[in-house]
Amino acid sequence: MLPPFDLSQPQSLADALQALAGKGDTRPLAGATNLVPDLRGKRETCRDFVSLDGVNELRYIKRDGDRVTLGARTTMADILDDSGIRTDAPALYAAAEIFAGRMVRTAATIGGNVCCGSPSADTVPALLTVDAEVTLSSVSGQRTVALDEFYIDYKKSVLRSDELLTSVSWNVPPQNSANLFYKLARRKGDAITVTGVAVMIAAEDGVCTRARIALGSVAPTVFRASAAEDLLAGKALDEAIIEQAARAAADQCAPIDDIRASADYRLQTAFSLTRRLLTQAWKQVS
Amino acid sequence: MNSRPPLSTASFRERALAGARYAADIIPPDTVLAEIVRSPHTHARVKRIDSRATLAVPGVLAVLTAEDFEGIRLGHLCADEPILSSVARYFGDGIAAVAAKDRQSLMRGIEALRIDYELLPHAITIDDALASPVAIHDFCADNIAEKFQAVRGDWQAINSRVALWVENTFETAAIPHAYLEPRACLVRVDGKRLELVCGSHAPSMMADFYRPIVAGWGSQLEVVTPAIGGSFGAKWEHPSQLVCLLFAQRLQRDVAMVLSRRDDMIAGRTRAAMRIRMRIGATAEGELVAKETTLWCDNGAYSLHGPAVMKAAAIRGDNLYRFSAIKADAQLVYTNNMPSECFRGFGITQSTFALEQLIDELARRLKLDPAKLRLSNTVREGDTAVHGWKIGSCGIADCLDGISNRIDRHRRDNALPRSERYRTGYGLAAFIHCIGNRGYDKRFDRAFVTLRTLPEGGIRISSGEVELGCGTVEVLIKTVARELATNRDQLEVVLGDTATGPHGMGSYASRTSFFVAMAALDACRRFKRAAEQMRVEFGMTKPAEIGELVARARQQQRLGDLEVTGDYQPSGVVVPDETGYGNISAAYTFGAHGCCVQVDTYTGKVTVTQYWAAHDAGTIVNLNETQGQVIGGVIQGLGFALTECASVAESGQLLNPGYLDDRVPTFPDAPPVEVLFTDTYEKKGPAGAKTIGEPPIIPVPACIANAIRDAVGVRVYQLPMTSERLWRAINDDDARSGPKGN
Ligand SMILES: Cc1cc2nc3c(=O)[nH]c(=O)nc-3n(C[C@H](O)[C@H](O)[C@H](O)COP(=O)(O)OP(=O)(O)OC[C@H]3O[C@@H](n4cnc5c(N)ncnc54)[C@H](O)[C@@H]3O)c2cc1C
Repeated sequence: MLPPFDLSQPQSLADALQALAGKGDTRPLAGATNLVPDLRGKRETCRDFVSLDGVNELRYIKRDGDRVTLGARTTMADILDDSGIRTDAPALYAAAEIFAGRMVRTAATIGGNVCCGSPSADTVPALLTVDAEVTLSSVSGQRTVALDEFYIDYKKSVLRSDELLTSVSWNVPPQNSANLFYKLARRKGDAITVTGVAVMIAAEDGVCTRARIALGSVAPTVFRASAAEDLLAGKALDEAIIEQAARAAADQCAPIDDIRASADYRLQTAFSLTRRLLTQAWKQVS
Repeated sequence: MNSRPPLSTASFRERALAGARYAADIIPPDTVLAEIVRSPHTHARVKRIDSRATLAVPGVLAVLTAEDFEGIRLGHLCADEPILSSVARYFGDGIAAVAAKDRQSLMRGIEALRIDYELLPHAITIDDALASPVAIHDFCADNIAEKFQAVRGDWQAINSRVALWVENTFETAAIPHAYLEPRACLVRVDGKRLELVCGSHAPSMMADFYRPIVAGWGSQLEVVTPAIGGSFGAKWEHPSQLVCLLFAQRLQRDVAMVLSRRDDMIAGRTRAAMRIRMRIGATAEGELVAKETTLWCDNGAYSLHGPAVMKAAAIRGDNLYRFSAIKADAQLVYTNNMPSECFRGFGITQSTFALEQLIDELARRLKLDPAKLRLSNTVREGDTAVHGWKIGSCGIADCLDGISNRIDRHRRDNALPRSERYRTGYGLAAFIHCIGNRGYDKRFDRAFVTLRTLPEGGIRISSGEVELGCGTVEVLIKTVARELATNRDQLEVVLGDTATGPHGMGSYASRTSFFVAMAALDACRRFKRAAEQMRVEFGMTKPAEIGELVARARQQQRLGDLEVTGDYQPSGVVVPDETGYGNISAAYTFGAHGCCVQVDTYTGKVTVTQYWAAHDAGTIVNLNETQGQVIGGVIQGLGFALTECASVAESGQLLNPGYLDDRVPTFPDAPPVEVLFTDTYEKKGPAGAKTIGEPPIIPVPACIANAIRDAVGVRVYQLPMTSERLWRAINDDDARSGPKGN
């Protein structure tokens, strides 16, 4: 059963920030697809929430030149309905496509997915491969943080309790690039990721000019396999380098056993899926 | 008493449009609410319950504990489940119950309840329970709830005939029934009369069971079934109902309980997990000769239908093939797990996972086509099968042909270049099933249908059977409309109300459509006879229109003469002997399934890309609903095969009490399913029909397992065949050697 809790329903961003300011344990509530199960399951102790339902100014997809910005209230369904995300962030689009099921996709927001801090949050690996940045706002001002520097530890981030994540933005990938995401899970709909891998490979004249690899569900936070990325940048890729990079990515994993999979399986599939996605991506750009 | 509750007769349209009303939907706002306080320990003795603080909470009305149910136990076959227990025998066992006037007081009351436990060592695996010095029940020192043995044929003689044995050990998982509607019940009180409103697939049988208990409290009982959101074998007697009945009786107020999804999953029921060691022997030409089964069935903490499920699993599937000799040795083992219960297929779904893989492996060893090997060994019309089943109409050959043609064509049309990463394979599996079971209740296997002419016009069809969503209402309307040549809008159907309808045994054993249609045919015959008598009496010359006759009968206040009850009991059926021998059912159903799978060898992920299901269900009465029933069964089987299991920690705690981690398939997981029906006609059935009910799930796990073997050369002998398990098998060379044999 849901425990009793307080809920304020501001109708503007300013009011929402005000509601979060100066109070101790007050949390934003967006699509509630994490919060309600957590409240029911007694994993969430907060009893005072600020609903973002009425804050429509946070629900948008904007383009300004090469810059794409999503308001934090943008839902997975909004991402799929938008005509441009498929090309502006192909991995994000792929993540939204296999995200939960139809019902949850219409409620779940990008802000909630990033802020829940779960290692299995599916949009995060995708966003990391396009070097996304998040904007954090409070009554005292605004700051922009690289998503790569947002997470500190399992379900811990640099977000302060008086701050709201207001937007996520990135530059559209270069012309000749491939941006892929694969989610390994125990079923196709409404499944929590066992191993999630996103890659971005850009190439010019047969040389890899940019490599991004991000892995989900294989460490306390989603992370970028930076050692692997470094191996690839500036090279013409082949089977051997890709294999080496995939190994390096796996070396950076620190998975755990849980009821969905063993640590061993996660580690091995992190390796084989990274290798597979890199191979596929390289094929697309070369 | 207030107005009648809605009945289980909601149509498919109403259900789909959220118009059906389930037990939880009809609880009036001021009803007293009850909840069961469940053990957080897997095995523990209750030392003390202190309910003073609970009773002091404003709004709390009463607390019940084991003492209030002294001497009362659930269980048709072995009465061993207390309503509230003084010993917690599984994580979630009910220890106390609280009733309060609203939800908040109820929650506060539960929080205030103090229960002290003394922990006992627990056993959550069959092996631990068998080795444990601790008895889960005082009356059962070795934790073996029941044993079963059957030996048939001449085992001396077969040794010279068997050229090849194939053998292996298989394990199936405990899974929840995963219906959508969590258990809910409402008890309405009217003086000494209690009315239990709850989704039940067997309301009359429930009333038979509960009435003596309620009589002991000085009350009478009726049971009414509103719309049921799925049962699959789970929804009959459950402690929650007796808790509400006793609260209502004591408080003289209406009482309701709606289980949360979590409670429904930790203290509902599961499919019985089994370990099955099986071997089959054949001649060098591929004639099946002998089968030997050793089976351990995890009963869980209480018996329910465990004994019957174990026996069915041990032998029933054997009836499909012309084995000369059979040995079965089975044990039902008490463990500290959630009680197991019958679940679509009644044990055969578990054992078919073993048998049909061994048959497949035999074909492989003998280099025979798996469909042909089966074809040359299955029973045929006129056979008495190895356990005494008298085979009537039998469409198994057509089913096997249909599937094998589909597979051949698909293989030809979809030949893919061999890829290192993806492998494709095809699989096939078959089954036999019964229609009702004379052995289930020693009294009879029987159905009644009453036709009553209504004063305001039209005819009411009533039966004690229920609509589980399988089309019972439609079968009744079609049958009666055709037999009485009336319009369907003249007919209304009332099901599952013990106060107004005849007795019904319930929707289990794939019996409902067959039995109600036969009883309806009998009722129509009686109705026509009564109408004819009346016509003669009234001196109406030509065969009168029913409407005309009814008008006259109404004028003369003779409508009562047009009330008849049809009765059907299959002929030629017997209660099987203690070894399970005997013809238990009027007719038998058959089928074969086939599928194509793609295995991702990097991850072990299996995608079923195409599925074919061929069924001999006799004449098909409702094509749409029958197809739906088949597709539903296939998808349910897919979950059993690949993803679902109750994940239990070593502590005995269920780790996945919700649908996010209890992985029933979702729509994107569902493969395309082509459904084929044979045009078999069953002489003993209503208009040639047999049944569909349970069968569609039975062969699914074996069918997929056989396709996986075809694709990657290995088997996962344990359900669910998860990606990780298959990935391990692919990467483990030992697994490639396949089943042991000589
Ligand atoms: C059935 C089901 C299936 C699911 N499947 C998936 C899946 O496939 N992939 C996946 O990644 N997740 C999945 N989830 C988890 C969940 O849906 C997602 O994490 C979702 O994106 C959360 O967003 P929300 O808007 O619902 O967040 P909420 O539940 O409202 O909030 C989540 C957390 O984020 C905080 N928060 C929300 N918005 C902001 C903001 N703007 N600023 C600061 N903090 C904020 C909240 O305080 C809370 O701590 C599933 C959940 C369910 C119930």
